[in-house]
Amino acid sequence: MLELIKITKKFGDFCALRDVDLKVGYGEVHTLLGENGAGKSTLMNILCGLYEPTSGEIVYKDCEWHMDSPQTARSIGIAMVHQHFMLVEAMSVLENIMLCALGEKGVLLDAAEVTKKVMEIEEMYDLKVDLHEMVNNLSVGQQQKVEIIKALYNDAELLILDEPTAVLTDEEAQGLFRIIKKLTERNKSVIFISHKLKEVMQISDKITVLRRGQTITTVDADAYSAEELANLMVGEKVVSRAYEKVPGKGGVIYELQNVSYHKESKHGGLNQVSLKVHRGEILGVAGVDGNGQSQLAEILTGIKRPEEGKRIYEGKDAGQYRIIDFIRNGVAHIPEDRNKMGLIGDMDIKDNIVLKDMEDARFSKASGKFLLKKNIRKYGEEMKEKYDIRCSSIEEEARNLSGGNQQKIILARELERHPKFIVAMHPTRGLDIGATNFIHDSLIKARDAGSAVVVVSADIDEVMKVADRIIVMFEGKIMGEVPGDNPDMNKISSMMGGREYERCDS
Amino acid sequence: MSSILSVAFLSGLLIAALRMLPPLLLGATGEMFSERCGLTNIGLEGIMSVGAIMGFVASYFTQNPYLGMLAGIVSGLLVNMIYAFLTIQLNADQVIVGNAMNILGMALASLVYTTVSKSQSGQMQSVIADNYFVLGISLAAVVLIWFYLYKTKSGLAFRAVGEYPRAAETLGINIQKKKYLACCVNGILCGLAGAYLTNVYITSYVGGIVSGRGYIALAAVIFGKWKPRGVLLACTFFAFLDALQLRLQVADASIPYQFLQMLPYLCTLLALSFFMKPGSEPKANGKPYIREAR
Repeated sequence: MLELIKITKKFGDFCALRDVDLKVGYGEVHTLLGENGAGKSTLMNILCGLYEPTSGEIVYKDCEWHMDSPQTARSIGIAMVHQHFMLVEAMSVLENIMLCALGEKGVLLDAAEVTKKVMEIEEMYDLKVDLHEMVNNLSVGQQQKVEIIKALYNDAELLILDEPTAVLTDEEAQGLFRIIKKLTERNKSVIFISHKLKEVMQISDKITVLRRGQTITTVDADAYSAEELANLMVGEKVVSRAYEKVPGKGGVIYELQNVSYHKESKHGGLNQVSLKVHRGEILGVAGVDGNGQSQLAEILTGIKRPEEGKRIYEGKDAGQYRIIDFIRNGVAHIPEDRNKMGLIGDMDIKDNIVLKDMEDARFSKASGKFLLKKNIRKYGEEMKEKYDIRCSSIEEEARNLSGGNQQKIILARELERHPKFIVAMHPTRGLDIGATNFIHDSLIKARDAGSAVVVVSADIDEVMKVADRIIVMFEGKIMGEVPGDNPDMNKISSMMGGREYERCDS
Repeated sequence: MSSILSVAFLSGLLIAALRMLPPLLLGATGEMFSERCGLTNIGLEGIMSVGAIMGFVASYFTQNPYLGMLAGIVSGLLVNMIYAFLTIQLNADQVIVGNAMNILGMALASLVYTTVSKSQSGQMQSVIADNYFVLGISLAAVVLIWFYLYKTKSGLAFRAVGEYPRAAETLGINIQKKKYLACCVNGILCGLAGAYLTNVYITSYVGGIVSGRGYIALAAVIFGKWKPRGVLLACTFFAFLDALQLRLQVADASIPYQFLQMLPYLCTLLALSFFMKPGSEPKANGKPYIREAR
């Protein structure tokens, strides 16, 4: 159905794709597998006409096409559901879909006609969405359905899904897979981009592995195991490591007693949360996203103050501490959203690394008044080596790096301060295996050096891998605790679903 | 104070307000249209100045105020193409370009006036046009723009550009075309607003005749939450305030007139500080769109 031949794309001097080939058949789910920055999204942006390739051919249904605009791609039946949805949030679902119907006859908007056609599509593929709801009131799962409806509305034959499950809960993801099944039953093809091996194995017919902008190989999905695929993707032998679990030994460093924040909000507050974190241990916080984990992290780092309850840090009442007080007392924060909270995208790598240490005598004179550029640059180079930040130069803007490298900048900034207490929120979300392992290693190293670490993650595998103790949050409450060594999986999942257990808090 | 509530006073106030309304409404409607497509143009004052002087000169030489207003429209359109080229084609910062437009427009106006008036003897006068003619046009403009934005396919696409241009592009919408359309309409309406001042409001030209109306129109867009009906209400509100302060100057001489003159601007400030809720502004407003940016 589709064939890409020797596609090359350069951004300035940077070669994002080099001679990439790809073949997709009718009714096939074809996965593009690769690390962050391997060029998957760039390739798909070329296929859907958003970028123009520097060289190479696109052959679709036996004709060669010049994809000069997304309109061309759409008109021949190629539609992409982007990782960041292309939905206008201030408009209703119907208005967003009508945006796809601009090419139809007539000058005026015809809501009735569009509604009729959408109903047919909803019926056929079991995609139920309220058409009159504003998009910003929809959950991400529903927004994704709107995107798929948009594609089908334009009679798409080939659907490109760019990391569709990154934002979904497991249940929503299964729903998406059912939709994909229905699509392929009707002989439509799907290009699926992901680096979650488990689901790739579940859904794909064929898998093409990309690494650093080049096609490595295309294989049948059932002929390879997850580990073999991981190896192809990373290019080196990946050992799925289990870390040794240790009990915290240095005494309690941080304690929350019955802390509440926006108690009435089940998905944006905390309700009577008590916990203790010890030096030299990793406390994992599991739970479905949006059950108060963000608020917990913000309370712990001082971004928010508890409305009720006590916050005790190093034996002192820290109820009124400001963010700066926590930073000065050795609290590090790896925030939830790298781009919004973790980094200043328009600043370069080295400046982002020293952001918290500007007053340090190493980097400035007179506590922050005169920066010592030379020292900062030298330090930036050191950190680039130490944290394996892959970039053309440390003067590059942080915005231009891939997610994994951005996260490494944050790690360099936070961990080099030798923090006593670290809050890491979704530290590996959206990252590839290589970067994920690097970050987990770093956190374990910090723990072994005596730091207390709180890892908040919606990815239960991640929590189980690194945590020495695991607590589970549900609707702003802590439902219970299990040991990190050999945790009872059933207990965790029933707590994630809202069942409460006695706590064995030490 | 009883004189304030008399029938004569109130009817006078209403008439004055209706005379104040068209330039504000034209400017604010044009600006709202422009911002719905993502182009913040703070250069309204400058465009109106150009419209005012060109409208005046044309009407003086032809002795036809309607030709004068046509000249205002054409000159507003042309001068706004500078803004369009710089912001759409070259992705220049909209606030800086808008600011430059203000300086350029006002300087251009006084240059033209000085040059022309040197060659003429005596006081230059234009002919007065029908007051309600332009009021009708400005109300029609609001309705037409409402219809375009909410009832036509092209208008839906136009709004999408102001909210999320990258999404609009994936749907094959020509972003530059929409933005040029926004600039054309804004230039036309602001040019007419300026020409109204020298052909209806008064029949001569004085420097600084626009006197901040461009800025009040900007405030009216925010106050009106970027919606046609809201902008109409906001402009009516500001027009009434302006009329009120003029009437009060006449009615009560004990209050220093400078305080009364401040009234509309003060209310603008208060309105913006207390009644503004975030979230209604088009999301991509003020941001240049760069096609292959990552």
